[in-house]
Amino acid sequence: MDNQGAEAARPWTEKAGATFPTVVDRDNTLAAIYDYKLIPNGIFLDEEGIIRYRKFGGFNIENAADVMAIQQLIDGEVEQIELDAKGAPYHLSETERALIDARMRLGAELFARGARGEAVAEWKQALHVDPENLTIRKQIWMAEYPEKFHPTIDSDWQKGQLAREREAEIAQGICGPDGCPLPRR
Amino acid sequence: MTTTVRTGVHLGEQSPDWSLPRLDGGELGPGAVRGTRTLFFFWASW
Repeated sequence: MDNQGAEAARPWTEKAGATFPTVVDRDNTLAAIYDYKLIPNGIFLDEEGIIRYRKFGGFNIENAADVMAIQQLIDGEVEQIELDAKGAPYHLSETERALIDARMRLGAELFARGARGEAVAEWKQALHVDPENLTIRKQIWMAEYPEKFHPTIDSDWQKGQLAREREAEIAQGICGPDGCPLPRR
Repeated sequence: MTTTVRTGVHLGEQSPDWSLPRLDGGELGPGAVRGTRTLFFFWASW
């Protein structure tokens, strides 16, 4: 998933030595379809394409619990695995989803044409509709602050930036579907 | 005020079909792997 396209993703798959097929989601298509707000995620489909497992956020193919879950499904020990609902995505209206989808696609197209500022402006409009969506927010960061992502990812900066941006957004009433938090006394 | 509805995908339901370009050429999605059990791993460089 990278709104900067295949060339941004390729070095990472090569570094990881990935032996599985990799597809590139430049337009946020899969986030819109599966309704996730963060990554990494895992979804397991059976032979009929039925969803038998899904973990949104924190899925890691090196995590023993995640590997065990997938192995149980592969071996047929269980039909499906239901995880704790914690972390499950909230949902937006169809109109809001369509608006986000359009903004993300337009932004990706603008970015591909070299119009970075205009692209970021479109992505920020999408983020205003869904301010808790980290997949959108982090792609904006990557366009605005590439030095925080290459050659290494600055996780501490991300935490601080998220707190600063959310504080400013909440002050403007941009709070997402759960509304703004009550002010502290 | 935001209107919320039940959307997305759920356990035991058919995955929506989609198709996206592979890094090594061609396209891939649930329809292309029908008949096999498949793990889709969603990641990003950020």
